[in-house]
Amino acid sequence: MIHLDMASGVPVYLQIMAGIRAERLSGHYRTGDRIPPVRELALALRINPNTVAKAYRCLQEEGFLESRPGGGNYITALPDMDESAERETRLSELLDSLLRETDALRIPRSQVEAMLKQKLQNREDNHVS
Amino acid sequence: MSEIAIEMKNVCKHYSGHRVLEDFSLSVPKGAVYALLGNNGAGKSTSIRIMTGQLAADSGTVAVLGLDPLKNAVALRLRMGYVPETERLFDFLTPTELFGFLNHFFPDWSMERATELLGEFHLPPDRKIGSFSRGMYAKTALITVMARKAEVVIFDDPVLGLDTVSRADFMDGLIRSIQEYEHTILVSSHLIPEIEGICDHAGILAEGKLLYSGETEQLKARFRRIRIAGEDGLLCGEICRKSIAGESYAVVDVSENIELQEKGETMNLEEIFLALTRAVGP
Repeated sequence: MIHLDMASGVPVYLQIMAGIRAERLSGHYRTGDRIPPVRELALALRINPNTVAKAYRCLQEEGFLESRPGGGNYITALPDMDESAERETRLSELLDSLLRETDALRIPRSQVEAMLKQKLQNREDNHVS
Repeated sequence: MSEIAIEMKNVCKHYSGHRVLEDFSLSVPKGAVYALLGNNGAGKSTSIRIMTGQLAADSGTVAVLGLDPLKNAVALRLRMGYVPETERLFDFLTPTELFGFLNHFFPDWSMERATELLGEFHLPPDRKIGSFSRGMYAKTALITVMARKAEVVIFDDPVLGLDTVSRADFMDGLIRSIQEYEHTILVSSHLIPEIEGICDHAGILAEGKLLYSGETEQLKARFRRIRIAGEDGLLCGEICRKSIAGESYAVVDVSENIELQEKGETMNLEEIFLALTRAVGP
């Protein structure tokens, strides 16, 4: 399910595009899968259907989606090398969103950094043992 | 979307010596969903009354679908739907009776859509409207325009006085209407987060002046929040400054300072609205 962060100020169509790419990366969508129709996604996310249509159009232009005769948008096959760039873009988006929320909660950035380091360290330790 | 559905040019309006609109210019392209945003008393309702032909401007020009709302009032009302802030309906009718009446009045009325909306809004079709709660009354008023294929639809603060469920019902109905009927919609509101996902154009109104009018994406591309260190001097394009979590931030119009576009953080519609209106504030 695509999640929108309306507080972020990031244009909504870009968020939809990022969301669909993320679903493809996570394996939720596979090549040849049909994504939800414009109207369905607009109602589910409570946004203007024209915005969803714009996101789909941009993904088509990128070659990520193809519309087939008779309607419907389908995930196209992506070259493997695109995936690492996709993952990096996604990571950057996730970190931006994290920083926006910690700012809103007035958590000092030094604390964010310290805790992130600590959590990474914990995972590393667990992994080793 | 080059054709213009609603256009106001250099409109001024005074009420008993008090200036309500000052050199107000706005243009809404056909097919747009335009959010007119402003605090109470900013001039939202006055500008809507002028574009719906209920009020004459002191100066300036107004055209809706190319028609003068005052001189072509009847022709325009047949192609335009309008829900005022507080709608008066015929209290002695039931929704079914009211819709039957409107069906004769408006050539673009869809009885099927009206019945469908009545169900979606959970309204009793055969109870007198006069006995309805405030929320039910407001929803009935919304159906009187949403069941029409009007070319232009104007809502003056439609979610005012609606509870959460009713607001969600209204948003769902509006999303369906946008896709099926492709009307041009102008909606005034002070509940910005709710309208942000729906609108593709916005006008920001403060003290009778339109501070910005255009595509919401361009608006969002234009303003950034920049973190500033210590006692930095005024930045080029700076609108205002505030502190969050002990850090100082400046809101900058990056159309005057392109280098800051990448460096700054994006802002949502409400944050931009607050920055712009505070900057001109009293």
